[in-house]
Amino acid sequence: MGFKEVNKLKRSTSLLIKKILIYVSAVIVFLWTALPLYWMVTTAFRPEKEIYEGLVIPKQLSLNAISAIFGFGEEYITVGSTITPYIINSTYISIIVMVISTILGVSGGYALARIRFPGKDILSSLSLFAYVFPTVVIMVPIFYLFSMWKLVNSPTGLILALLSHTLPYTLWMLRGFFQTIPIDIEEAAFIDGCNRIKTIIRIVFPLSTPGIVATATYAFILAWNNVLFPLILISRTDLQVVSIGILNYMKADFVPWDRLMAASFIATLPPTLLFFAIQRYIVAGLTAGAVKR
Amino acid sequence: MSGEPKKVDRRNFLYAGLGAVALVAIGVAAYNAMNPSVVTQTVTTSVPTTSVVTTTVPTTTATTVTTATTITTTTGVQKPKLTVLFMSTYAPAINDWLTARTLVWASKRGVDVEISTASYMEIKPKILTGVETGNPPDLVFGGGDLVALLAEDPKARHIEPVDDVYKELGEDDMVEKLVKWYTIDGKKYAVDLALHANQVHLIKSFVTEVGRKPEELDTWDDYIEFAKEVKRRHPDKYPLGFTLGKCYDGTETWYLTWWPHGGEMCTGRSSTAVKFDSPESRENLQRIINWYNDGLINPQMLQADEMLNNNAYLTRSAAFIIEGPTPYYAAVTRNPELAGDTILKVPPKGPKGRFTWGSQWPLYTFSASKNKELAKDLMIFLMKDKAEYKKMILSGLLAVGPIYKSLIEELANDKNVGHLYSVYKDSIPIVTFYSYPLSEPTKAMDTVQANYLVADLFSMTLIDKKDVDTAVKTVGDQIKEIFRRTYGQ
Amino acid sequence: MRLRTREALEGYSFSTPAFLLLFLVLFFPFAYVIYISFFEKIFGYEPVFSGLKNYLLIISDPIFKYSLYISTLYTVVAVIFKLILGLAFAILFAQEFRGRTVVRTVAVIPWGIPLFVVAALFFWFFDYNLGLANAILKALFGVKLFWLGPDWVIPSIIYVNVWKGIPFFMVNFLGALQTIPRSLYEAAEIDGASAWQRFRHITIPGIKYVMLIVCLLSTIWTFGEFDTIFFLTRGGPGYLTHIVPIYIYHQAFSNFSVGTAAAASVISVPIFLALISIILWALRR
Repeated sequence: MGFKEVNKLKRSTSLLIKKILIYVSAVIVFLWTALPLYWMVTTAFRPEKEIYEGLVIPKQLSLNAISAIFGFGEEYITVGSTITPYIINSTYISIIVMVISTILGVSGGYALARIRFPGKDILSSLSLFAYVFPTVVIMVPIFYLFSMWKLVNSPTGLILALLSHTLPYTLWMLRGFFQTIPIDIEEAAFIDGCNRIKTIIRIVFPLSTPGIVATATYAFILAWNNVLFPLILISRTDLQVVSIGILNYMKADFVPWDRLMAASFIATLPPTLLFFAIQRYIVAGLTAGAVKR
Repeated sequence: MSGEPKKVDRRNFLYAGLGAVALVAIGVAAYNAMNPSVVTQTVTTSVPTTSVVTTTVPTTTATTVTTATTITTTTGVQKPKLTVLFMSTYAPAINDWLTARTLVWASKRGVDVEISTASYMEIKPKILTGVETGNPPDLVFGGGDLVALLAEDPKARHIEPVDDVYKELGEDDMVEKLVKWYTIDGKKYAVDLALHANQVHLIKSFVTEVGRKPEELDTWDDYIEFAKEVKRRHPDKYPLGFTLGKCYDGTETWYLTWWPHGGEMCTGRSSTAVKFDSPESRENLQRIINWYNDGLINPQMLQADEMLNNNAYLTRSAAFIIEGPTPYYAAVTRNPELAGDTILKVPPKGPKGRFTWGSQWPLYTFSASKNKELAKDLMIFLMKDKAEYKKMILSGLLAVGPIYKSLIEELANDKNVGHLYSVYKDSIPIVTFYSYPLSEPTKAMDTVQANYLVADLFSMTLIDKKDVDTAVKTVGDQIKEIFRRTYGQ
Repeated sequence: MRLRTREALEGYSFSTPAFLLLFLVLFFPFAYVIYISFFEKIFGYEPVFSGLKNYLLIISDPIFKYSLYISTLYTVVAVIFKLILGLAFAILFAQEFRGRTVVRTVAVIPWGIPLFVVAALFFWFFDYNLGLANAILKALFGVKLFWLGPDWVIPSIIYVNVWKGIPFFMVNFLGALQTIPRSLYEAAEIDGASAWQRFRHITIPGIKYVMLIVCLLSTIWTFGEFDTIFFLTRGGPGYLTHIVPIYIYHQAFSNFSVGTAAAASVISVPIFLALISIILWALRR
C-alpha cells in the first residue's frame, strides 16, 4: 500500500468516527432535552388511572385532563380546578404590560439611541443596570410599599410591578435596535424638512418594525412567566394568574399529576410559540444588540 | 445629529453610580416627606368620596364557582362590600360550598363580596399583612394558629370576639374542646367551621399480606412491627408515610408520636412552664431517627411538602399514614379501588394513651374591620342552617367532621356512612391541642406552631447530622425564648 | 445652540415617561429597601430605628451564611456546566448532519418554557414512585434516586437549572461561532493543527467575548433565581437549598420581619453590583 492510500484510509476512518460521534451526540442531546418534555406531554394526555400504574409509555390517550382543567366534565368546578380565569388574567395583564412597556420603551429607547441630551449616557447605563438587576432584591419593598399604596390585590399593582421587570428590557433592546438603523436615512429625512415625530413615524418605525414586534413579544413572555410579583401581590382568586395556578396544583395536599401537567402544557404554549416566532430577533438582540453596538 | 453614537467612557460609570446614589437620596427624602401624609390619607379616604358603586353580580349556580362579573353603575347608595379570605381546603367541594353559600348570603343581604383564597402556606402572610396595613379582610376562614397570636395580647387584640355568634348558634351543642381552643380571657374569638381530625389510613392488603388483621393493630409497637414486616417483604416500599419536613404535616408527625409516649409542651404561660426539653422528647426523636435509618420512612419525606404523605398513600408506597381524611377523600374521588382497600382507624395507642391531631378550620373577623357585624352575620348564616351544614360535611366525604354533637351522633348512626363517622366520633375525645397539656390557646405556642419549630428536629438530626441531645436542646431553647419574649418571664 | 436645546428637550420628553415609571417601581423601591433595612420592622408593629442591628443579626445568622454559600455553589457549578454543555451543543450544531434542524429546534425549547413550568415538570419527572427519571434509572441500573431528598437535592436543582439554561448559551455561542471565518480553520488544518489546537487557538478566542457576556448574565440570573427552587423545594429539605432569594422570602413572609429581609437583600446587592459592573465594563470596551 502506498503512502497516499494509507493517508486516505486514515482520513476516511477519522471521518467515519467523526460522523458516528456526531450522530451519537445528537441523539444524546435530543434525549437530554426531550425526555422531560415527553414526560409532561404524555402525562397531560393520558387517563389518570394509568398514571398510578407507573407506565412510561401510555397505553391509551385521553383528553380528560385537558378538558378537566378548563372545567369540563368535572363534578365540582372550583377556582382551583379550572385554570380558565387564570389564563384570561395572565393574558390581559401581560398584554397591558406589553403595550405600556413597548410604548415607553420605544420613546425612551429612541431617545437613548438617537437624541443627544445631557445625561443620556447615564440613563443608558441605568437602563442596562435595571435590565440585569434581579427582581428579588426589590421583592420586599415592592410588597411593603404596594400594600401601603393600596396596590396589593389589584391588577394595577401587578402591572406596575411587572413593568419594573419588562420596561428596562424593552428600553435596552429597542435602544440597540434603533442604533442599527442607518442614520443617513434619518438625516436625509431631516433635510427634507421632516420634524422628529414625522421622521420616527415615516422612517424609523417601518425600518425597525421587526425589532419592535420582537421586543414587545418578549415583554409579553416576561410578564407571562413571572412568578414573584403575582405570588406576593395577589391573593384574590379572581385576579390570580396562571403561574400561581400551577403552584396551587403543586402545593395542594394531593397533586393531580395529569391535571398539573395538562395545565403546565397549556401555560407553556403561548410563551413558547411566541418565543419561537421571535427567537431570531431575540438572539440577535441579546448578543449582537448588546455586544456589538 | 452627529454620525457615530458617542462611545461611553469609564467616567460615565462614575456618573451612573453617582446618579444611583442621588436617586437613592431623593427616594429616601421623598419617602420621609411622604410618610406622614400617607397616614392622614388613610384616615380621610375612609369617607366615601365617590358615588360610583361596583355591583357584583354572581353568575353562578350553587355548585359552580366562577369569577364574579363586575358591573359599574352610578347610583347614590354605597353598598357595603365584604372582603373574605378563605383557605383553600384539601377538599374542593368544601370550598365550593363556602363560596356558593357566601354568594347566596350576599344576594340575600344586598352586599358585595370579594372572595380571596390562599393555600395553607400563603394564608398567614396574607392575614398578617392585612392586619399590619390596617386593612384586614372582613372574614377569614383558616389560619387557626394565628388566633391567639392576634387575640391574646391585651394591648394588641386584633380579632373581634364572637360570643354573640356562639349564642346564636347554640354553644351547648358544640364540642367543648373546640370552643376552648378559641376562648381567651373568657371571650371567644373564633368559631370552627369543621374539624379535620387525623386518622390512620391503613391499606388492608398490606395487613393481610403479612398475615394479620387490621383490627389487631392497636399500639404503636403493633404498627411498627407491621411496618417492619412490610419492609422485609417489599424493600422498595417505605411503610411509614410520615412527613418530616418543615410544614404542618411535619409537626403532626412529631406530636402524634410524642404525645402517646409522654411528651408535653407546656403547663402555663411562662418560659419555666415549657416542658419540651425532656427525656421523652429525646426518646421520641431517637425513635423516629431509628425508623428513618431502618428504611421505614422515605428520605423524600424531609421535603417541606404537605402532599408527600398523601401521595405515598395514594401510590401505595406507604402501608399507612396518619392524616386528616383528605387523602381518603382523594382516593374516593380518584382511585376508588384504593378507597375500598383502606380502613380508617383512630391513631395508635402509646404507653401514655391515645392521642390525635386536629387541624383548626376557624372563622373569625377583626376589630379593625368596618363590616364585622356583617361578617358575624355571615358566620351565623354559614353555620346555623344545620341541613346546609350537613350537606357541606357530606360533600367533603369525611374530609372533615361536624362540630355539632347532635350531628356527630346522627352521622355516626347513619346506615350508609355511619362506619366512617364513628371513627370520627371516636377521635373527638382524643383530639389534642399543640399546647398540651395546657391545651389553651397561647400566643407563644401559636408562634412556635406557625414557624413549624418542632419539625426542625428532623432536619437537624437527619440532614445536619446533629445529635439528638443538641437538637432537642436547641429547639427547646427556641421555644423557651419565644415564651420569654411573649410573656416576659 | 437653539437647535441643541431643542434636541435636549426632545430627548427629555421622550425618555421621561419611561424613567419616571422606572423610578417609581424600581429605583424608589430599591432606595426604600436600603432605608427600611435600618429599622426593626415586624408585620403588625410600628417600625423602630435600629441602626445596623438587622445587619448584625443577619451576619450572625448561620442560615444566612449557609444561604450565601449554597447560592454561590449553585450559581458557579450551574454556570460552569451550562458553559461547557452549551459550548458542546453549539459545536455539535455547527456541524452538518441529517436531522440537525429538528434536533436544534428541540434543544432550544427549554429556553422558551416558563420557569414555573420547568419546575412543575421536574417536580413530576423527579417523583420517587412514578417519575420518569427513576423509571429510567431503574431500567438501566436497577436503582431509584431520592431526587429531592437530602443527598441528591443540590445536584437535582443544578440539573434543572442547567437543563433550562443551556439553550441560552448554545444559541449565543452558535451565533458567535458562525462569525469565525472558515478560512482560519482551513489554514490551520493545512498547517497540521490538531482538532484541540484549532479549538484552543481559533474557536475560543473567536467567541471569548460572547462567552464572557453570556456567563456574566447567566451568573446574575442564576444567583437571583427564585422560581424553580421555590416551586420545587421551598428551600428544603431542612435548609439544604435555602438560597439567598428564598432566605429573603422567608424572612419577609414566614418570619414577617421586613427589616432583616431588607438587610439580606441589601447585603446581596454588592454581589450583583460587582457582576453588573463587569458587564457594563465589558460592553463598553
